[in-house]
Amino acid sequence: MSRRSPGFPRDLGLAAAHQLRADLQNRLRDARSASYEMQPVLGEESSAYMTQVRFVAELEARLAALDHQVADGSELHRGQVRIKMSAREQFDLDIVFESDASAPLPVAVERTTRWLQIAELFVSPRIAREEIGDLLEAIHRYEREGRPAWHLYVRAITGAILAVWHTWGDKLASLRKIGG
Amino acid sequence: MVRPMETFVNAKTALLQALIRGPSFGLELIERVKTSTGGKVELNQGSVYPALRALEKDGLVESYDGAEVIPERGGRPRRYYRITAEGMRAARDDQRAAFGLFQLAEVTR
Repeated sequence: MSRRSPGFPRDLGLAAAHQLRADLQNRLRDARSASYEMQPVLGEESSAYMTQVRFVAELEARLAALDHQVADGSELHRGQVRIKMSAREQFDLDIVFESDASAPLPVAVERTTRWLQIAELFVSPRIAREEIGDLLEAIHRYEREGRPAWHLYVRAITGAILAVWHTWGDKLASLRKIGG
Repeated sequence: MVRPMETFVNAKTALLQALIRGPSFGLELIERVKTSTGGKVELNQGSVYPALRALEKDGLVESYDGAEVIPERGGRPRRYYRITAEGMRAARDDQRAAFGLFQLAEVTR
């Protein structure tokens, strides 16, 4: 059975999907740097900045929708990613969301996700949400970048160990505080 | 790759400076620091999260859960951090100190 990247429909073609994602990523990078440039001084209001921030969020939503159409096993509907965009930024993602959403996640991502779900049992709720969540996001990013599976495994294992370590660090700090 | 401790900047300072640009979460902050230093300073997960929590404890940043739904996180919200007024003052102090140091180097050259 041939292996495909997740979230890419069969009828779009991998090359076209990669091209589409690269285009979105470029736009997102440009939009982010523009928003940093436009950042107002604290306490001031800037409608241009807020528009730019919304635009960045919209691009992020589209990119996430493209990349993770099937990540949680549920189908994303076109309406969920059909967000108002300026005429300048209109580009057609219809073909992506018309398509089949049954593509399986690659084995390494599935496996590391399971490991991290187990590690989650040994960490505090905050660290589970923050560190394990970020780890999962990083692992999906690695996979999209086409890194080898062992990168994903190493990242998951070291990340899980650090998360447990940080939990114990927090617990010890609390105990020391109680002990005076 | 240069770790923060090998430079004049530590993880807390780097994160505080990165947060001046706006609220962000751990993973993106690592990327922001790396990009803004041209890859010279690369924070790792081992130092970032404890540093963020220490900054929060010191009242220099505050955190909140993001509202966006990101399927790959399996329902776990992103934890965003934003700089407080006190944090902004501390960050500016750091900038002045670094600037003074560089000026000194410029004068003595």
